[in-house]
Parts: sequence; C-alpha cells; structure tokens
Amino acid sequence: MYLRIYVRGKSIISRCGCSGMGYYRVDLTGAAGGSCRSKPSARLVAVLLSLGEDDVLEVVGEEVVYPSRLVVSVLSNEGFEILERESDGLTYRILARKVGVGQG
Amino acid sequence: MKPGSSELREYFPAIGDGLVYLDNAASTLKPRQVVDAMSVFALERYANVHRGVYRLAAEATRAYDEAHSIVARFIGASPREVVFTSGTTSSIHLAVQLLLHNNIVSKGSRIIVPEDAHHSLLLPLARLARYTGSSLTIVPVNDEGLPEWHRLDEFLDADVSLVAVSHVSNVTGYESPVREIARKAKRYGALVLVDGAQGVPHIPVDVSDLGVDLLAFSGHKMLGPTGIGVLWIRGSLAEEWEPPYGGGGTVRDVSISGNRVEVEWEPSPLRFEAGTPPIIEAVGLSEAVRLLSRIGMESVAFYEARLTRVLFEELSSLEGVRIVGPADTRLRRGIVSFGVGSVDPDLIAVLLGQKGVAVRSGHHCAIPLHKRLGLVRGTVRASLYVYNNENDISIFIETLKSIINKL
Repeated sequence: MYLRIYVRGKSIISRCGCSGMGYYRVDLTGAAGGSCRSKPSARLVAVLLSLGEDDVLEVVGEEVVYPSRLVVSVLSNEGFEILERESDGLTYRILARKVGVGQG
Repeated sequence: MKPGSSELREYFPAIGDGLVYLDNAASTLKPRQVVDAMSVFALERYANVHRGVYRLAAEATRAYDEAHSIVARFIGASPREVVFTSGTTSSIHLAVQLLLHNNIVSKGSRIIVPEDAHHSLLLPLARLARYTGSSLTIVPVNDEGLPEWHRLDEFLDADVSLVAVSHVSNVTGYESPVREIARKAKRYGALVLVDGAQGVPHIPVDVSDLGVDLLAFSGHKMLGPTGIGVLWIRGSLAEEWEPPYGGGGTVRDVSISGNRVEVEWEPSPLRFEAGTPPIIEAVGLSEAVRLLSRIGMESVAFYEARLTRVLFEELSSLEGVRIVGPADTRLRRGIVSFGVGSVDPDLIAVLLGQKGVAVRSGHHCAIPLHKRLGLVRGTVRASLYVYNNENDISIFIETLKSIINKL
C-alpha cells in the first residue's frame, strides 16, 4: 500500500465548485502496506491535520481494506463536509472540504 | 496505593483529560513524581558523574549510583550487575556485543530465538549469527502465536551457546516460561538472554529466581523517562567480561608501552557504561521504580491479570474481531492484539484515537509473527498498565463497537 499526496492548482478546485485554498489527494489503494513509520492511515491523519478551512481533499481507496464508511467517519470527525462520494463496491472516491475544527 | 485508584490516576494529568490510554506496551505515561524529580535534579543538582570532585558532582554521582541500587533491588540484583543503557534495544545490542567480544558465540555455535521475538531481539541476533558464522534456530509459534517452548529439548545440544527469549510477547501478551527455559538451557551450558521489555514493568522479577544471565528492559515502559534502559548482567559474567565499548569512565588505568595499549577496566557496571551516562533519566527511572515499589509488583500483576481478563472477554464478544494469542487469559500479561475483518488496523486505530482512545496498530515490530498468523497488515493492540481501570475498557469497547457497526 502506498499513499500519494498532491497539491494541485486552482483548476481542480473550481471544477468541484469550491473556493478553497488548496487541493489534496490521498490514495488508499495499492497492493502493499507501508513500513512501520510510513503508513497510509497515518499519512491520511497527517494530511487532515495540516489542512486549513476550505481546503479540499480527495480520497481514493479500496473498500475491503479502507471501507469508505470508516473513512467518511474519519473525515467527519476532523471537521470535513462530504462534497461527493462514489463507489463501485470495490473502490471509491470521496471529495471533502474542511469546514470546521475537528475533534482532535 | 492501589492500582487503578483515583489517587494513583491523579499522578497522570493526561488521563484526567478524557484520554483512555491503552498504548502502554509502546510506552507508559509519566507520573508527576518522575517529571518533578527529573526537573529538580536537572535544574538544581545536575553535574556529570564519576568525574568531578566538587560538591555538586559528588551529589549527582550519589543520585546516579543510588539509581543503580534502587533498580537492582527492584529485580533482586546487585547494583554492580545493573548497567544503564538508552533502552531495551541498546541493552540487547550491548548484550550481543558482549557475547561477540567475549567469544561466547562463535563459528559453529547456535543461537535459539523464538519466532515471536520483537525485531529488537531478532535482528541483532541474526546479525550476530551472520557475523560470527554461528546459526540461528527459530522456535516456531503455534497457530495461537505462542512459541513452542515445550519443544526446546529438540533444539538444545552442546553447540547452543545462547537461548534468547521474550519474557512477554509485545503482540500476544504471552508470558514465556523463562524459568523452565533457563533450567533446560543450563543443562547444555547455554547462556540465557531475556527481552524483559514487557515483563519487568508488569511482573515481579527476581533475577536470581529466573536463572537467566542477561535481562534487558526499558525505563519508559514502566513510568520512567525515555532514553534509559537496563541490561542486567549476571555478576560472575559482569566481572569477567571485557566491555565492547571503551571510553570515558570505563577504565582504572591505561598505559602505552611502545605501540601497545594496556587497559585496566573499572568493575561493573562502570566498565560497561562508556561515556556520560543517562544521568537525569536515571533519576527519573529511580523515581518510577519507587512508585511501582510503593504499589507493589505483586499487586500490579494481580490487578493487570484481572483487567486483562475483562478486556479479553469484552473483545471476544464483538462480532468480526479476531484476537491473536492465548485464549487462556492466565497466560497473558496486559496485552490484547486483534484484527477487525480485512480492515486496515491503522484505520481502526485512527478512529479510536479520534474518540480519545489511544491504541497501537501495525506489526508492533514483530513482522514475522504477523506473517505466520496471516495478518499481513498487522493488528490493533490494546495494552494495559497500572493506572487503567475497567471504565477505560468500557469506553474502548463501546467506541470500537460503534466503529464496527459502521462496517
């Protein structure tokens, strides 16, 4: 399993109709897990904590290992609103925007 | 003072703030006494030890030496047998270097180590074997993840120079029968090295009773600070063995004769503590040991056994949870690791963490054990200590239940 984070330009932000400052992507798919000190879930949290209000996050993942319902819970707990959510039962894509302060 | 009492919990400000801390196998919280003792010592009484002749240095030396005595009493040892290191990992590495430099392990000999060993034990021994031309014999684990120590006789012969054992597995919580293992190893003249990182903080340990030769453990897993650990070396070996690391504070005399350097080593433990040791940390550790001694290790062990049983039974009742390790909770010491279906253990831990429950997730530095058990992504680990109580377990279980219900 690996995780990639991209900071992209405004074109994608405008595409999702957001006025946010940044766009981030977290990839929870792949075949192999990370090392002890480099784990996808830990990096997800690190990204969540680094985002500011109106920043937009796209999460792409696999249902069997990172169930989208749980990922949505993680995002909600950190003050994100879900903008889009699509799943084919195996993989999913969630688009969320930071709107408030998380529980952490 | 009773384990789990509100009087004890008040020493730990973090748990009064809505935190349920169940990551004790990784590191325990620090009580005020430890932090205060280190702070006062560092600010008002600090100097290097065993070197200066001024009053401050003499008092710092006394505090440092006293820390050896306090830790020694805690494990039924002599202060001369207690070597301060930076933690269990460095203790094991020091032990390995001692075995190498003193030709205890050499070409053709064998080292026995269990499959559930923490990487901190397994990797230095694997390197020692490779470096010396000796070989490893792995004691396999069964389907529960418990080393098959009952087969030890099959693996022992006169070529075995070392038997290494994890006192308590940091994944399954299984307590290995160290006394029995040592008794068998001694029949063949093998030395016994114990990774006591998860044992000493939770079980009364008397090294003379265990019958082992080397015992490694950490301060930070027993209410003490990070940056200090212990390698206990059986007295007869400690006085006999040459230290692998020479340096400040390790020698009585050094002479140069032509191109030859002659060294007269200090007695143990000084000869094994090269350079400036962890002085402030030793003061902190001694304070932690004082607190544990006030509570009483028998009391700690009894209390944790009860909590462990509650934790195990509550977890067992949850659908989709697979617990690793012994089903008989009498064989466990404060640790319960588990998986939830195919879900990434880290994601479970993230969600628990967001609700104030701190647990560890992953492989817990025991990848071979997880592979053997078919848990390639690792497990979630809940681990207890003396300040936890049943309410902590209830909150953990309820939170976990709400996560599982979302699946």
